[in-house]
This record gives sequence, structure tokens and C-alpha cells, in this order.
Amino acid sequence: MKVKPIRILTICALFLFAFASCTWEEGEPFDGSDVSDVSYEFDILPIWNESCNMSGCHPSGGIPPDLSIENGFESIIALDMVDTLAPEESILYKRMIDAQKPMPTTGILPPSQTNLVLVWITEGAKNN
Amino acid sequence: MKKITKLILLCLALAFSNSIWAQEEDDLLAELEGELEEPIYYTAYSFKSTRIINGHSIERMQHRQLDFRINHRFGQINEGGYALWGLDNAIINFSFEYGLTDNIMIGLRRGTNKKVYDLSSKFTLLRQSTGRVTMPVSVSYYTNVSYKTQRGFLDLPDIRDADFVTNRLRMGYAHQLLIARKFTEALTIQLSPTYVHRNYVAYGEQNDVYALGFGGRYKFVNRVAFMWEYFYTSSHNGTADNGVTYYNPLAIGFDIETGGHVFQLFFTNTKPMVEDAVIAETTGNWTDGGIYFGFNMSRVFAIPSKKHH
Repeated sequence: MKVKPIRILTICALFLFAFASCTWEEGEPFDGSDVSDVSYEFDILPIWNESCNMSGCHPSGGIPPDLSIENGFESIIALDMVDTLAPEESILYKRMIDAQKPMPTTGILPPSQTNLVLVWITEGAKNN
Repeated sequence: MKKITKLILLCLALAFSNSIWAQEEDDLLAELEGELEEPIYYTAYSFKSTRIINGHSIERMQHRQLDFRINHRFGQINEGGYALWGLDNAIINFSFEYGLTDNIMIGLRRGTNKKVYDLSSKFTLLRQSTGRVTMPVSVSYYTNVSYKTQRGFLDLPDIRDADFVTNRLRMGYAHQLLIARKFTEALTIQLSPTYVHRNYVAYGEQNDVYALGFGGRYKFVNRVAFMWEYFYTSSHNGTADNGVTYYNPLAIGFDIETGGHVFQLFFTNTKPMVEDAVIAETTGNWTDGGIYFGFNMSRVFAIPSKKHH
């Protein structure tokens, strides 16, 4: 059987182009000390929308806590998931930084996002 | 040259020279021997599909064959009855793999985890055979290039806002040499030296990870085989500088073959399914409930040639 050489060449070119993009980079160590004034609506809710409240996870009527736009705040408070006196012991925060049993299940979120949650709890876990 | 012609020449040559007679006889004998030359018996079906469980096997698609495959990975089995022991929480990875020739396979795949796309290729380098040529192992080379399209990935900017150079950091690569031997009809074993590379990693992690895969197949009844696959990642198990502990991926399960379909049911401690993440991002611990049930399904289609129409 014959395969047109142009097809093989196209595939090879695709791979070579991809291999040419190879690089070695590492992220910076995270420093969240300058994060403050965290808003639930503008800082925390986007995290739920991007990574948490899709179908099969934590939508309205799904696995608790309900992290939907409408019910997220009430659900977190009702389930006692935040501890404003000991923010690092909050169930919500501890669950989000457990890399061995990750939440989201596809891998824990970067420190820039989990730190927002921590600072939000530290600042009183307000519905702001 | 027809044999009768050779015979006539032979007789004529006999009359003139002994050395010519010997040469003609040798040529005639050689031609006869060529027709009786022993064929090469290539080993077939070392594995029944192109995967062992997570990783690739030496098998590839034949020319004009398309393998449509859906791999599922469910949640952790210790999530309890309410989440149906993880079944409520599924991610998938679906792929199309096509045989460009009998020995070159290309694949396109998309996975839920980090919304990753990858392009792959597998080449047959050697085939296990007996007969005229004896080759003790089958060897294939597999490579893939992956690209994570999840908008937020680590601390990189949103993929929609970043430029090409920054988005290039979302790429990962894998290279594997797959070496397998079918010992008996029931038993095949494969070694897979592996190198994976990720362009961008979190602080404290490594871009390059090396591993050695050890996997195999044991068919204990007709159409059902026990499969296992273990990758030893020497430099990447244990706790990384960023505090995350990685484990070697291990998967064990069963292959069930039914006509054009192959089903695999298995348990594994690795949630992602693309090679660079399987090797470098396995955080599940077998002794601590970090076990996921998985189900792979594969169906092979034959694409007819245009000439047959």
C-alpha cells in the first residue's frame, strides 16, 4: 500500500513545529502577603464559576456545597465550611489545598486562587 | 530465464568447461532454493489493543484502520455510596487513532483534565518474528505533543488574553520506546522507557521526568486477559519542593475483547490520562484511598479505499 509522501511530510512538519516549542520554565514562588480586600462577588465567585460549579460537581442541586452563583455563599456558611477565627482550619480552605485528594478532582487550583479564598475567610468571609 | 533454456546451456557448458558447469549448477540450485526459502512468521496480537492500560502498547492500527477510543476515569472509590463510589464524578479522554501505513499510526485526542488536546504518533521499529528472521522482541516508538487549553492553568494568564509565546508554555511532550515480547499465547510483557517534558511547571517541580514502564497481559480465559502496568518514576516520586507528594502510577485490570470492541476495566491511582500527566502528576496513593476506577472502550473501523468504489 502506498501513502502519499506529502501526508507523511505534513505529519512530520507538525511534530517538528511542536517540538520547536519545547522550553524549560518554572513558576515563581507564590507570595500572597500583599493580597487584601477580597470580594466574594468579584474574586471568589469567578473561581467557583471556572472550576467548581459545573455539572457533575457543585452546581445548584449537585454535590454539596452548592457553589452556584445564586446559592454559593449561603451554602458555604450553612455547611460551616469557613472558620473566621482560624481561617487555615476552615474546611473549605483545607479541602482546596489537599494535593493528595485534589479538589477540583483534576488538580488543586494554583496558590494565587486558593490564597484568595484564605484571605477572604480571614477578612470575615463576607458576602461582598 | 526459463529452466529449459538453462538446461540446454548447462549441457553445452558441460562440453566446454568444468568451472562453468559448476557455476551454472550453483545458480540453478540457488534459484530452486529461493523458491523454498523459509518465510518470516511475524508474531501477531502481542496485545489486543494499542494500550496496555494508561500507556501505549507496541500494537498499532493497520493501514486504513481507525480506532475510536473513549477512556473514562471516575472519582476516588472512597467517596462513599452517595457518590456511587466515585462513579458520579467522571472525566473522559477520547481519541481517534489511524493507521497511515501498517507501521505508522497517528492519533488525535482530547481530555477533560485541563482540557488537553494531543497529537500522537507511533512507529513500528521491529517486529517479533521467527522463521527466516528471528527477532525476540517487538519495538515501537511513541511520541506525543499535548496542549492544555484550560483557561486558567497554574498561574499563567487566561489563554484568551495571552500571546503565543506565553501560551506555548502549556505544551507537554512524551517519548516512549516500547519493547514487548509475547512469550506464549497467554503472556506478553512490555518495558517502556519513557521521557516526558512539560514546558512550564509550578515552583519546586521538574520539567523533565524519566520513567520505566513495566506492563503486561496474561490471558487466562478466551477473550479475557489480566493487564497490569507500572511506571517507576525514579526522580519524581516522593515529595516535591512545593509540598505535593507524587507516586508511581500503577494500574491493574482486565481486557475483554468482543469482536471489533475491546473493553478495559481497571483500578489505578492516576487520574489524568495523557502521558506527561500520568508520569508526572500522579498524586493518588494506593494505601490511602487514592484509587480510581477506570473504563476504556475501543472500537476499530476499517476505512475503505476510494479505489473500491
